[in-house]
Amino acid sequence: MPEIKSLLFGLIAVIIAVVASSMELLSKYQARSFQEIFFSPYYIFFALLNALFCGIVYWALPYLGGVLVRSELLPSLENPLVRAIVAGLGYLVLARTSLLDITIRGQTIGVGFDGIYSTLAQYLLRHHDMRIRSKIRREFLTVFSRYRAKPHVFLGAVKLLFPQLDIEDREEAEEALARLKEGKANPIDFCFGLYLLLREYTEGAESAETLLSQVEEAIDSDPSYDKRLKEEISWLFVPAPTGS
Amino acid sequence: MEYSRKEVLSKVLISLRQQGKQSIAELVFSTRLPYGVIQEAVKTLEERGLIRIEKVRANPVSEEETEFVDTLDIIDLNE
Repeated sequence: MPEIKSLLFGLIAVIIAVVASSMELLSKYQARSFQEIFFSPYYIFFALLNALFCGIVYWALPYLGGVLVRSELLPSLENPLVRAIVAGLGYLVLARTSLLDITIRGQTIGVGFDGIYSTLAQYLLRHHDMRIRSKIRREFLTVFSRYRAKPHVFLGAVKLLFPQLDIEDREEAEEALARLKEGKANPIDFCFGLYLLLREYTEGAESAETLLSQVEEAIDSDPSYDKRLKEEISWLFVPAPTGS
Repeated sequence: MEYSRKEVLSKVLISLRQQGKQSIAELVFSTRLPYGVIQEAVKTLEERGLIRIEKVRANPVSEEETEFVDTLDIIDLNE
């Protein structure tokens, strides 16, 4: 019976750890959908990594309590719920612990748990990030095929979005747009930059596509709007020189 | 705004190392540098053999249209 109780509270500790580590991803990918963030093998392995370290801390807490928690909390560790909360929220203390630090080319590398945890976590989060970006690229290429004769649709959609943003986001988005315009990018690069802006401030691919189709309708029905947008990115409408 | 060539090249390389392969548009966001500056840096880095460019083709508009006219350049470190 005590073993089942211990396992149950161990499970609670692991759930706390997984939720806490997932918060990091939620804050990093605020503009991405829940599915994009959490339906990924890299996220599952990241969650398992955190669960493993939390499980180790939960199991070792009675032996390491004096090292990991404040002395006034030590007597409370006998309460399984306190032990679960301490392990769930404090496992990173152990995960980030290194027995010694080695500095190679100005970069400090921790030898110990820190080395193992950091290497694995960085690898998984980097690949998770690359997977999300690759998905967005694929979605863009599909959308771009539809609008490649009308690149100003992307510009119109971004401009339609600007008034809906708060001042800080709007300034950042306007700066990004200015950086994209500087250098007269080719149509696909420019439209991809605009699509990234759209995805940053809309909820998922479907919202971005809805906005694009709304702008396309507006362009088709209002020649002056069409002309204004084209003039702003006139370099995209200059015919490419043909070979002699 | 003036950008030192060395600083730009190192920003692009660091971004590729930390975040993996990216298109020029993605580099505009990750490095906060203008498109034209990154385009120049990419040319230089390619000439020096430090990066390679993978071309991803856009889908044709219709089934009848088989000609791919647009490609998105994805830049990756040459390791």
